[in-house]
Amino acid sequence: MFFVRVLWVIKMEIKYDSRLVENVVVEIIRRKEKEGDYELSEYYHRIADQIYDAPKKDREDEFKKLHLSIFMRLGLNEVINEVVGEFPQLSKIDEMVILEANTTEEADLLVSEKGQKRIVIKLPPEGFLSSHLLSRFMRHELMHISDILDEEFGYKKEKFSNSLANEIVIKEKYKLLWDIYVDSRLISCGKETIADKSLRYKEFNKIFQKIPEEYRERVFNSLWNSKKLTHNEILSLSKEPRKLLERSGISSKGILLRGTPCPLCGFPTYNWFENLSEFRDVIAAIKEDFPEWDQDDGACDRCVELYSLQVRGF
Amino acid sequence: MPEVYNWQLGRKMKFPFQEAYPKKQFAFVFNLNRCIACQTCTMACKSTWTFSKGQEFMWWNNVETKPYGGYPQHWDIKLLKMLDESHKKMGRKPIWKSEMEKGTARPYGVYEGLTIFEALPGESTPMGFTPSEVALGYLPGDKEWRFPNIFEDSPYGPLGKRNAFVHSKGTSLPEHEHWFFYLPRLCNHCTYPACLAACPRKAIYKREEDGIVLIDQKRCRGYKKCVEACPYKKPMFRSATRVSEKCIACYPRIEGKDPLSNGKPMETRCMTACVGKIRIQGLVDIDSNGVWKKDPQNPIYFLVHVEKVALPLYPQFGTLPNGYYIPPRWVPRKYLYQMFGPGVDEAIERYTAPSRDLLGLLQLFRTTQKIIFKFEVQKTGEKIYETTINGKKWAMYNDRVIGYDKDGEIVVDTKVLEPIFERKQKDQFGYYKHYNSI
Ligand code: SF4
Ligand code: SF4
Ligand code: SF4
Ligand SMILES: [Zn+2]
Repeated sequence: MFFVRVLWVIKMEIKYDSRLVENVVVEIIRRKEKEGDYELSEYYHRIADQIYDAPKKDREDEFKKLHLSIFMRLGLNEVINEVVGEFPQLSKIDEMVILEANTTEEADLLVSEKGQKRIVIKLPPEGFLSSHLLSRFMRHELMHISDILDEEFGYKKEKFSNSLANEIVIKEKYKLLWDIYVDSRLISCGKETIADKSLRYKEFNKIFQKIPEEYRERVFNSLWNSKKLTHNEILSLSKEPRKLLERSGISSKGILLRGTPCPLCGFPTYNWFENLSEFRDVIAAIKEDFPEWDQDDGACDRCVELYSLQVRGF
Repeated sequence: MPEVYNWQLGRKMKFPFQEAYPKKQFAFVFNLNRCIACQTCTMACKSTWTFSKGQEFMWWNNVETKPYGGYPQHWDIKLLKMLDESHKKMGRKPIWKSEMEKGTARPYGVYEGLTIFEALPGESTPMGFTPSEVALGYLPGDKEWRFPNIFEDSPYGPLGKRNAFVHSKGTSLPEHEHWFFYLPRLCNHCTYPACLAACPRKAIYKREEDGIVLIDQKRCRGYKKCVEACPYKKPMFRSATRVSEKCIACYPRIEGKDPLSNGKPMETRCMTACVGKIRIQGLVDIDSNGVWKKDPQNPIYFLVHVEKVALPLYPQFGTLPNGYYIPPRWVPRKYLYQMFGPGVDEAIERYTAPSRDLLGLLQLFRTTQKIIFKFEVQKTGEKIYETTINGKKWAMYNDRVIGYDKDGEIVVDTKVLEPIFERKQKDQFGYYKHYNSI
């Protein structure tokens, strides 16, 4: 980890993960070599040779310094500083740490016992390969951070579900909905970010397959145009996609979403019973047990099978 | 660029250096039908050589589940793809001329496609201060090294039938529809090492006495060109020292300098630790033209050149690797051709109904830590089993099998039938006691 500089506008320190810095620098050198440009490579190896020749120096440490100096020489830290300058809300932050992302980019806010605030941003090394890309990545992540800092947004770190499988599913949806909220606002005020509307719609289409296809675009558009969302809203939309329909002004009555719980047994189902209305005796039997239930609420194959066994026998 | 003779490809090929061969060559044979992926080999190497700072992600020996596993991830698929693209660009086809010839100079026919040394566009300058490319390759990222056993036990199944077992009635050889197998790998101590060819510092050398390929830790300056060029991805960069490292073939053991060895050459740590008894390693004599000197009593020579049951891994890469594999019998042949070349059918056929010599030799796998330089099967055993394999009669004999060390001294003397020991003593509860129980 390396301390870089104190921004004059903001009192925040920015620290870079040495692993990330190395990977970025080495990749940029390699790309330049491939294009026949050896200037940076020769400079790098000239300094590196001195480190190899020097006896008993901590090589790893010396190399960290070398990589960071090239990182700065390439101006990558300047790009980050510039984007940080776009977010005055960050003046409340003491420190920012930029790490290498294992899978996808993410941002988080950590508060120490003494109240020190630290932002952790994880970025993939590929994100640094052009300053254009880097500024878009940073802007996207910092928008998340400013939501986290916004009291009205009401960000809370919480467990989404007690089951790990559900946690993963809800998190995936939560992440996408929040990303949509972040990117749509950035784009609407003319800023560049990592994904445009059509890309986010593609993801939405993939992750929210429970929503019947004919409603998907309408639901997405209403999300994209949201002026204000909160953590709690995003979370409840992730947990119950039915609410996505409702907030887009679509009545969810009679729409049976794949993978949502059957109102009778409570188990998520992909097999809603079709043509229930033709089974008057079964409907009546269900109503005896569930007076509030309406046939538009639907029932899963298994529940209908159970009730028809009860009323019709084998 | 000079040309060298590659007998695995049955032709001359481009290589940045002139032909020069060691007197002996470190080589090994792995029987893939038997590996159980216990990773004992992996841990034997790690606990001996790579337990220090900066070596956390380094596994000189690794065992991966094929087809999906790989360390680094997708190393072979990535390179095969690149090679494929080069073929397309250059209007070539990666085909083998099918005629196989007897003899050690062209055992698998002729490979007419491009090797990694030939697949680069245009001529490349072999050496110089600025690192230049001598072989088609790529540098894996951190993420690709991070999960050495990714996709362990993930089988291949027919496309479009996710989670469905298609052979509800069971399956039978020659090919399974759902399959995977374990591939143990280490540096192949190649005859034409791409790592060596790519090093701008000339820090990599191949030893004259045993063909072991080593990286001079003082000369290496972390260019990682070896990591990029080795098609098997066996050199690895160590961040703590900022130099590359790789399997050293446990050379003190090969030299007989290990305290255990009493001056006699010993097999490496990963070989001798093998629980599945899938491994045998030795030294073969090399002729001045690079082909193996005739030595049918040498176990490795016998498996590779006499019985031809053991095949090189991705010979088309062109480095002439010295690790050989008995292919797994249940895996679709097309996959095996891609991985081991055209010798697959013959190898499987001979392994399925082994000759008396082969069956005897297979019994020697992991019976001793000493390198077996010569083996002998005395065909005087009684017939103990008879059956029909692929329509042909086959019988098993309880022959005597003997292994000799470098000086011709007997180091193993065993029989095809493994000896059975009966426990004699019972404990207080009436159970038979182990020999070593108190
Ligand atoms: S396997 Fe790779 S590292 Fe080993 S000798 Fe061959 S090219 Fe070099
Ligand atoms: S031969 Fe020795 S150094 Fe090489 S992989 Fe095996 S145990 Fe490791
Ligand atoms: S020790 Fe032998 S059986 Fe076990 S994983 Fe290694 S090669 Fe396979
Ligand atoms: Zn139900």
